[in-house]
Amino acid sequence: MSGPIISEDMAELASAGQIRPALFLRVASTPVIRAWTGVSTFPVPEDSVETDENAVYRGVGLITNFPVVEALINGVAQRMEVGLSGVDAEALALFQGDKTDLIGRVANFGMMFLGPDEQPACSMWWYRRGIVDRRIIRRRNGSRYFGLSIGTGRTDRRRPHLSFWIDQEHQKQYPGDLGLSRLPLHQNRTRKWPRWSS
Amino acid sequence: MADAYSFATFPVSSLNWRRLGTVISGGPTLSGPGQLGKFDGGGWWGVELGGVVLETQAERRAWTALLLALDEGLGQIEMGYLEETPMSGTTARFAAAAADRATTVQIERQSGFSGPLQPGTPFSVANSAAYDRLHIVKRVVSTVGSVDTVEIRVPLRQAVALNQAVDFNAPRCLMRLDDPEGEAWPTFDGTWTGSVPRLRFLEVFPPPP
Repeated sequence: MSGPIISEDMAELASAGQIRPALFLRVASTPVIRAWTGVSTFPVPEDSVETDENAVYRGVGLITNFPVVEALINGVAQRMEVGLSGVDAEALALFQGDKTDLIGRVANFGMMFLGPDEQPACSMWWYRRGIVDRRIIRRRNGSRYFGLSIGTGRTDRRRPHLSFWIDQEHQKQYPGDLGLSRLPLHQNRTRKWPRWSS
Repeated sequence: MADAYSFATFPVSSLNWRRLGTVISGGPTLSGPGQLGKFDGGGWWGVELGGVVLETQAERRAWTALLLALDEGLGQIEMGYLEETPMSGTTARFAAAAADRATTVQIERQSGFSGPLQPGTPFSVANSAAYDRLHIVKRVVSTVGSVDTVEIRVPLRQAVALNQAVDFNAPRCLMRLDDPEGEAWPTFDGTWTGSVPRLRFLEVFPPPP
């Protein structure tokens, strides 16, 4: 990551102990899931991640376990579970789409600071990207909890929940990339490593 | 449109409006007071009513019907923002369009006002597609003739158009019941007088009809 994370004005506000972060989650499912940590709606302009010029993010209140700002050190992969606790029916409907359409989708986490007038004081910083590999729905004491398990890479020694070695899954993450499209031609065949005679 | 709470039918002995939000503190530090983070993007409204008394069977039945309609928070109700001397006979409109989440707006006082808007004045935005939303003037930025540029809280819940009506006579907010402990259901004494000590409502954000 290069360049300033936040502007000098925001750094000054942060150093004064007054910050108004607005955190955003975007999952590239169909339809796209757009949620932010405040209430009511939040229009977000088009940029490198948000491709819809009329995008509006829905407030879902406090999102638990929102990933903190951490760098991937030495390429270590991370897994995070983003949860919405105590969601109402409208918020839950955001996430209760077709499960297969959620899994394997790109999830982006963004942040911006609001000023004292509750208006954006800097541009959106999309600071983390991952892949949704599991959807979690729980009910505890009458309260709904919805979570997404999002990984930035292979995170454990065991076989991961999701593999990308079929064309359909690969297309979800990289639409239009035909790199695995001919993989079925290699099914049930044994390829021997060539032996070169000296 | 949701029904309105009738303060005439169910008078209360206490009324507490407040803006709610999510503020997280990092705790005190060695070198200063520490840092506060406000995550709510402007907050939302909550109101607590206290001391509802139900003396007749008709009142008790009407209250029960109201609770069933509120449906433990899944139903909606319009709550009026009461004042000691409410405004009446005023008409006003937005003097300029404003975007969703705007906190600075221009309001034209068309009739019935004795002077410029004052900080603390409540109003609601009447939009049938997006329900009634309560806002309060935080400060008056400037006044030019009959047009006041004011800073408001909470932010606008939807974009508003030029000349869209602004209601200062009966400001109100669409809300839902917040009663996880079941305190809205009355307790009866030996004379069949029911009492509801506390009743809370929170601003609700349904999708447009």
